[in-house]
Amino acid sequence: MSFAAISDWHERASHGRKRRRRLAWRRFCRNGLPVIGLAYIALLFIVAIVGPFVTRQPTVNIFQANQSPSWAHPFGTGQYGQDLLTQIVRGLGGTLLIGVTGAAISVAIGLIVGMVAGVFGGFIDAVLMRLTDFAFSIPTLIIALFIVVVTGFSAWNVGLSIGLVTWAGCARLARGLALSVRNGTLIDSAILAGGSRWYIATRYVLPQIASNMIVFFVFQVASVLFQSTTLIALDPQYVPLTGGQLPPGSNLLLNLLNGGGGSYIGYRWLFWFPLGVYCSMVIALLWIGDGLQALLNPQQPLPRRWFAAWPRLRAARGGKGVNMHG
Amino acid sequence: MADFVVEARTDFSNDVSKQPVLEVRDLVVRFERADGVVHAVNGVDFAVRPGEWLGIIGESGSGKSVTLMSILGLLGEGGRVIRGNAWFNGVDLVQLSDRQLRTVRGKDIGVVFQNLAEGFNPYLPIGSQIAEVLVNHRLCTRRTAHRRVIEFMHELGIADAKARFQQYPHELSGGMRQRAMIASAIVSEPKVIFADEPTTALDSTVQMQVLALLTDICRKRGTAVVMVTHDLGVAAHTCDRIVVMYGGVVMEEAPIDEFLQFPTHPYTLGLRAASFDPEQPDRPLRPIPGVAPVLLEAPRGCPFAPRCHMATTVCRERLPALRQTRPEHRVACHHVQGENEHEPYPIP
Ligand SMILES: Nc1ncnc2c1ncn2[C@@H]1O[C@H](COP(=O)(O)OP(=O)(O)O)[C@@H](O)[C@H]1O
Ligand SMILES: [Mg+2]
Repeated sequence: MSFAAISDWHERASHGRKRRRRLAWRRFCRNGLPVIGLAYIALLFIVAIVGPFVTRQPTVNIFQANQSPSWAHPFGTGQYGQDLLTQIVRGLGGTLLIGVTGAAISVAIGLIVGMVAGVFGGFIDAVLMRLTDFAFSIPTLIIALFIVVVTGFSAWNVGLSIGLVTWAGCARLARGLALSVRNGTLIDSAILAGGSRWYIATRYVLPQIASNMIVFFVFQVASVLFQSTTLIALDPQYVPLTGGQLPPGSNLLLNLLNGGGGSYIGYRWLFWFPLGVYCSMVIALLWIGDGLQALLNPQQPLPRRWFAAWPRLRAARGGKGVNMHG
Repeated sequence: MADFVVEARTDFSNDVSKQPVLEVRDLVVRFERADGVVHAVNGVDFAVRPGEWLGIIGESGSGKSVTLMSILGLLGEGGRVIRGNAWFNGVDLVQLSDRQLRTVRGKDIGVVFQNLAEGFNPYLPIGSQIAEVLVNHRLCTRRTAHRRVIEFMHELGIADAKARFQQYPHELSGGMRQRAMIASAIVSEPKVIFADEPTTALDSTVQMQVLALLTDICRKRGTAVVMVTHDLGVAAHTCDRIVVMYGGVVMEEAPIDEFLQFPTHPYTLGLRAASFDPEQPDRPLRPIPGVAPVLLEAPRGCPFAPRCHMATTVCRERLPALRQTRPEHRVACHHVQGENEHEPYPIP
């Protein structure tokens, strides 16, 4: 083999890698929703980072309580006269941090525990699953509250503590999925290819269960946020607003609690604005998750670009079409 | 029966003295299942000589796949080798630990699976999966591996091998995927290849192409092949020797000419009667009545006795031993006695 031939091969291989990357991106884009989701989450991140610098210091002004949306207060004000937009913008950073860290930690632990248990089996499986049973049995919120009380209330600590106590479900799911792919021709052929356990776990098992894990992650983000809201409210020293600030380690959902029970009926903006931001964030994450699933799975059919539908329609009607596959 | 078959093969029947590369002795495999113990293999004996093409035939559920997989230590959940040996290269594969087996399977023994859909990892390009065999078994560096794989794919008639190298399994046709599977089985230059119904999933034209290719490439390298099939025609075309299995037991074993001319065991005759014979195209096909049972207890007599038209009391009481009836021809049947008995039984 000449040197020229080797370098030629390398060129082709890298060409192949580029092709694979390009195809993966096209699969991600699919119907456009994942891109919208990605753009929306990026926007939220920017708002979360920039927001605190451009919004007014949050204040409490009892004379402006429960005002409906206006130019001065686009999202209206709450029962202490706090500007809701400011509260939401300032709660966004904590929301994203808590949701993502919490879900990442719980899915990471669960995935590792479940996959090791599923792939190795036997004694290791038995030990890890007893550990998982134990993790399942603990009253998650109370233990998480203990952790936070000890380590201090901050978005990071809240996310971490909830992540540390909620991985059991993910571990069970990952183990079940790993088991379902462990026995079969596919893994036999991996063993025959001389693959080590690590190789089989990362290259054969992980891709198979990744798409379920992604969905699980998104649900986990929502669940962690919900639980963190309860966690803050469970804090014995919980004060809704201190000098107009949400308590440390809180997220934008807390604005719903701050509204106070009665105000939901009359003052709908207190309900709809925080909820709208929260729900749209979760939906955007779901869309990104869908895109990631498609991205990771080369068997997903490539989407036709949406603007390319026209020539095909014309071709179907007998008009002059463009060969999309050419 | 068909003479053209004889020309297509290398004749190993004279070369009895060659030491077998793989020798399976008295292999017994059972599966522990929730509903009881499945006696999948109940004492199988066979040997493969270097460069020989051994066909294992028998109905579904005869224990053919389990025999091969147990040799490789790839029995699924609950499967266990109860006793027996599989001598390969002077070591007993059955005794080896999983770690020791890893250096043998896939390297010295290649495997071609029937299940094309599951033979390859859908998330990795096909070429790198084949190259992985060489890299993981430490046969060469990654770079050399890629080059060798492309050469191999080329030799296997995969057009534009360099582009195919980057493609995912689902982008290849069935025939191409089976070629790639053959490439991954043979790329490490094994001494033996296990082919478990390698062409069952393909349509018949592609089937013959792939078989011809496999024959060709194994012959060039002197690789022995153990091929499981339930297609007598395929076996007749490619195999040097045939082992007939039923109920996890070897029923008959003979070189192919002998097998085609003097089939002896009632089960073999039943299989023949049930499959198409180009010599007698008008003969109606007659299936063997009943199905191969899942053996939930060890067979006391001959496992075929419940379906055999010749069965007598002794068949149900005692397992017949494999007995030599003619040179190199061995049959396990109470009703086949003596050396000279070779008249086919009339089929009722
Ligand atoms: N994983 C398993 N668990 C339990 N029983 C099995 C398993 N694999 C095979 N068997 C049983 O072993 C017997 C032989 O199967 P097999 O070797 O696959 O037959 P074939 O000759 O068609 O390849 C069958 O009765 C089957 O039910
Ligand atoms: Mg089989």
